[in-house]
Amino acid sequence: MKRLWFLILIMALVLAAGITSAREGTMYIEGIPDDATGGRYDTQASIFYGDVTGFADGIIRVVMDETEIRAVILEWHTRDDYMKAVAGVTVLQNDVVITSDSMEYFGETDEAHFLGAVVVEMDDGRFTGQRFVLNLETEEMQFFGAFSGEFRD
Amino acid sequence: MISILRQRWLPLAVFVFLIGSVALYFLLDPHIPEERQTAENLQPVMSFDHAILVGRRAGEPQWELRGSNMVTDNGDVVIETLDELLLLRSGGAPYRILSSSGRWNAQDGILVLPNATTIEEEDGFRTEAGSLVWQRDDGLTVLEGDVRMLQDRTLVSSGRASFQPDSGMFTMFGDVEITWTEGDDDL
Repeated sequence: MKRLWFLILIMALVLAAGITSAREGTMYIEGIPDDATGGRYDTQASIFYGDVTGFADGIIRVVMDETEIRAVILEWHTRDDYMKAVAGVTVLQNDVVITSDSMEYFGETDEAHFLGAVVVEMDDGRFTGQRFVLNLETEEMQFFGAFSGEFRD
Repeated sequence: MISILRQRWLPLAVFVFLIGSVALYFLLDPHIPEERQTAENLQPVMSFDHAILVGRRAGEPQWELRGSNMVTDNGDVVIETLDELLLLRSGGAPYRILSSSGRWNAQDGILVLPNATTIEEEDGFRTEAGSLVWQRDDGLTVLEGDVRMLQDRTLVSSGRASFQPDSGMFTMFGDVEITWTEGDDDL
């Protein structure tokens, strides 16, 4: 009986750790001339604003473990662990490449929500639609609404 | 007869007039010796030990500059030993700026801290830079040289940045790297 309670306690701790821990990562704002600005941080609201639309070589990259998010405009709420990317959104996750009009990342659930002109490229197929959700931890994919797919051998 | 006398005495009179003019010029010399002129133009030098400069707007203190050793220099204040600059805020704890030395231009309201500088705030905001320029009128703080800002487990690295204490907006110039971890807050 004691062993059972101990196992339950361990499982609860692991579960709690999984829920509360945010991913570690690095954001790069690149291709910006030294005298120009591509990023601002509101220290009172703890929100990063990245915008490289005015720079030909400008790109924002967020690298978290095996996931890389690329965008032209990105907003990141560090306290809420919430990220929103618009314009030129591309997400690379292992052998999957996803492009869309916009993407929202929710750190609490480790989910990325893609909206508008979504294209999911994989080794064995290509899918297009309007709404798509990817769990970055489990790599579980959810397609919403009308979706079309092409499968390759 | 008179015309003969005039012809004889005229050159002598001209000669005496010229000699007199030269003598008068040296006697009434307006030229001030160089060392005397320099001394008259010099500003008095004042030095302060453990002094506090306080900036006010509409009677309310906006900032406090504390220095152990300050000397006036042609209208500027040379802060030979800077203890701290406090940027006071009505809605929160002050930002505390630390560095070794600096120069304060009261007329333009510009403080230059040319050496390694730190900005701290008790809620955890901390920034380090190679140098800092603070503009009193708009409160803008320009940071240069390996700028590193830390808050909420997030470390921002940039070559140059500016910080607006009133709004709390931190603006990065050029390429930027932002890292967030689950570790402690040490820079």
